[in-house]
Amino acid sequence: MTTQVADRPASPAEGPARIARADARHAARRRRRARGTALRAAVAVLMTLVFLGPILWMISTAFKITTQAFTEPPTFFFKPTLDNFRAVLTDDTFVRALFTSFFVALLSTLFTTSRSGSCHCGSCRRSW
Amino acid sequence: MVPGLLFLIAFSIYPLVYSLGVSLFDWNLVDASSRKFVGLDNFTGLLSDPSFWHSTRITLLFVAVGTLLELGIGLGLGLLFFRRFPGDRFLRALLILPMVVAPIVVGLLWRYMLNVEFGVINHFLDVSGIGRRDFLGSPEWALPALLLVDVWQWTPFMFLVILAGLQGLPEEVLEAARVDGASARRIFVDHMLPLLRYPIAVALVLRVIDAFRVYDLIFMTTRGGPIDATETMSWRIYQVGFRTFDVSYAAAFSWLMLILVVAITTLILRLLVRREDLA
Repeated sequence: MTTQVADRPASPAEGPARIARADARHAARRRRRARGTALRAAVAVLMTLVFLGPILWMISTAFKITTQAFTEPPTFFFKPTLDNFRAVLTDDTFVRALFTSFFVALLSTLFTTSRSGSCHCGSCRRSW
Repeated sequence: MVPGLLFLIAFSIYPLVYSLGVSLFDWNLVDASSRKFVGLDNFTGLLSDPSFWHSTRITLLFVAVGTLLELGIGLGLGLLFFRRFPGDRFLRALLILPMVVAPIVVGLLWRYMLNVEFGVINHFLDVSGIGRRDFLGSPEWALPALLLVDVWQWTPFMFLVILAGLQGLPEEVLEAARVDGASARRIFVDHMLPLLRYPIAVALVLRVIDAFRVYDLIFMTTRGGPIDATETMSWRIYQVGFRTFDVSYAAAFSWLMLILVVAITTLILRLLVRREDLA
């Protein structure tokens, strides 16, 4: 790797040539960096797809009718239906379960944060 | 402080002491004549119980392989997302989605995808010529399949913690190393890893504790089977305590598991965290 010192012209006459060479080097480094960024972005997209795959499959299954969900080979292209969502949203058990989950999440977050706060306060005032 | 202490006593200390008490008795819920004091008999019984050692081995395998894979992939992903690129925030948000899915749903989803007849994964294996496999139904593939699911769900967590750690690194140190001509590999080994020690320690400890407790995933997929191939400690404890109702044996089992978890997390912290920082 070159340092600042090497880029400085040794004599005024050599100056322009050196500057041009340094510019070319910078341009090459910029290109390399741009290529690196593109490569990293590509790998990142690929990894995201790997981790997202199962979730995408789950979402697509949500729009299938039962017979489409259990086929071999799997159904990739189909006419989506909202029946499943309609069934879930009009199901009393689901609505009740949703409220229960919401209630539990809210209360347990409230209690643990407030209680651990006061416990912590007690423990940090004394040094154990 | 007093209300905090009362809460601690009511919800942490009392159940803990109570379960320790129970573990010293011979107490089966379906046998009214039991419930007599037996001292450490439950513990000595466990130590000579092959199913205890089997579940310990399965659990340790699950925890060790799972967390290490998650750490490795998480580190790779962290380095990938360390320097900005267009759209990185969006991808990052998508990448951490598995973590948000409820474990019950994760189990159901993967059981559906791994199914030997209509599962999408087996379809691709079939098409690519590898051939179908009954992952959750064969003794040798069930544990690897569970590891795959665990790695899929929890690598994003590891990634998130490591990325936060990476972004908190002092930029001057990395810059100085770069100016001095250090290679990317050397910068990673000599500067990034030592500075990432604490985030890694925190992530590892949290993951180890969590992986030890794995239950819902197994409940939804293999139920400890086939035979006992995926019988982890928490699964075994549930079986002993709430299937055969031998609550005292289950309590002793839980205590041994707790001791093991504490020992392992302490070891991790001792290895990665400087002594004077362990306050």
